[in-house]
Amino acid sequence: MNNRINKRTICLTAVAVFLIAGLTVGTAMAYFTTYAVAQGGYTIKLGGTETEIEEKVELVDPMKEITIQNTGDYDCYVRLKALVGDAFKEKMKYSEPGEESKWTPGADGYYYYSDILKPGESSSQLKVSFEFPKEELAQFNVIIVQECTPVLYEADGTPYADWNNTADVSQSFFVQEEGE
Amino acid sequence: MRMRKNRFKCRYGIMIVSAMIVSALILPRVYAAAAIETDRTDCTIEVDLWENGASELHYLPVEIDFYKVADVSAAGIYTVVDELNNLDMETPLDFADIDSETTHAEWQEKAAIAKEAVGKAEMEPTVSCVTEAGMAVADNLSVGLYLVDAQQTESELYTYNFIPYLISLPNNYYSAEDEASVDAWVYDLVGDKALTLKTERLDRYGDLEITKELKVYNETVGGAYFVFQVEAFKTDVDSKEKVVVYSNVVSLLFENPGKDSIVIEDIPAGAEVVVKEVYSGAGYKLESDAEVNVMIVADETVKVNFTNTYDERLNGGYGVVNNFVYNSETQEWTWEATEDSAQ
Repeated sequence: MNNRINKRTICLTAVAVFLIAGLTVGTAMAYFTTYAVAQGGYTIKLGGTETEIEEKVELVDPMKEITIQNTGDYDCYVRLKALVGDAFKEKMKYSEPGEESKWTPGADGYYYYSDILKPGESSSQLKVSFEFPKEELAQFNVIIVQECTPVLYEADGTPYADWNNTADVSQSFFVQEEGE
Repeated sequence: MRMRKNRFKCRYGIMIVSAMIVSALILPRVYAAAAIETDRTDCTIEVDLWENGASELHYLPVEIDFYKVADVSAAGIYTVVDELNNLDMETPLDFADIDSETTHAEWQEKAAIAKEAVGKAEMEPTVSCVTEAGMAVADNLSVGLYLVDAQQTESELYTYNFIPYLISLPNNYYSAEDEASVDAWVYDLVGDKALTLKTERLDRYGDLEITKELKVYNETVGGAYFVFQVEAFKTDVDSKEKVVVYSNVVSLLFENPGKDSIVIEDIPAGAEVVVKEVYSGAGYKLESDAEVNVMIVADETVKVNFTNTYDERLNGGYGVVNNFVYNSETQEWTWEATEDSAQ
């Protein structure tokens, strides 16, 4: 009689133990899982760069000395141009000080800076000189517009600028509501 | 709609016309052997603006008032009329010092004093007339010294002011340097003796409002900056010369979608204006016509509109406006930098 009890009992006991153990495993795992979740994360930055114009104006021989500073977080290329009325265009001239040759005129009227601007860096100077008009046109504007674009890389690592590069991810922007 | 103003005062306003014809022709009493017929009341003054030089006065009605400010004696001595005596004026009206040496500038000064006296005395015109087709006639006038005072008139493009002056009835056109001239009193100032008016022509002005609608704004790349070039030409109605009256660039900065405007004030009326959007922002494109042509109307605001939206590019950028202004008193240029030209 003892032998019969031992074999059967052992089997049943084993099953029971197995079942009981199964019930607690999940809880344990949950327990460990709860306290094993990682905290915090890594911010993925999207978006463009930021640049600022710095300029100095001379009135005696009228001209503007312009540099552009990268105030953003990413490397970028920059370009700029000066806009004036037709009465002033003929007399407006661009130049670089000394032997510098980093600004190149494009067919579109922009001057393109050859070097990549890293965050915090400033371009070399570009001078825009002009002449004051006759007194009948006694008030006028010279508007400097500047643009920046993120640095892109070819497959071989060569950097380049694509001024027509379009966004391929969703970004937040406002759309005008009807009636606003 | 937020509307901001940008004031650019044009300086093509003032033009002196017909300075060559100054018909005061006041003759001193030292000339003319014959005595003045002081009892005549049938004198005539004709006004002829066809030689004036301002072509619009050939058809614009001009009201002209004649005030008799002095009697004249047979010997040609002027005496201020009673109505204009004893007025409370810093410089009283007086013609006792008139002689052959009296200059044109001194006559103009007396005319200004006469106008002041007429105003103080609230004197009614002796006679008034209005030009038709550039001509007017005042008749049945007695002999004496008259103030000729024409009222301001306007066309669609200009305002005409007239400088008052004095004219003598009768007049005498004798000149010792001109052998053909005759030493005789002329009681009817008509035909080649007709008067004209010393005219000052001023531009009338209107405004131009540029409105931009930005449909979609990209908050990630930042401010949307737009630049407009404005060129205005006016053809002078008399000389037919086409001159530039405005040449400039102005800007608007958006930090949200919506509408915004800038007003350019005081562009001469009649100017043909071309407004062109020459910069559409680092990441935006124009949806309306890039160039609009309009004509400025006096005392009105002509409006042009442009519409843009985001073009999905990732470029950032903005601009700076450097505004240069000439100070005519110090004869120096000054400079100020702003974010957009509406500030």
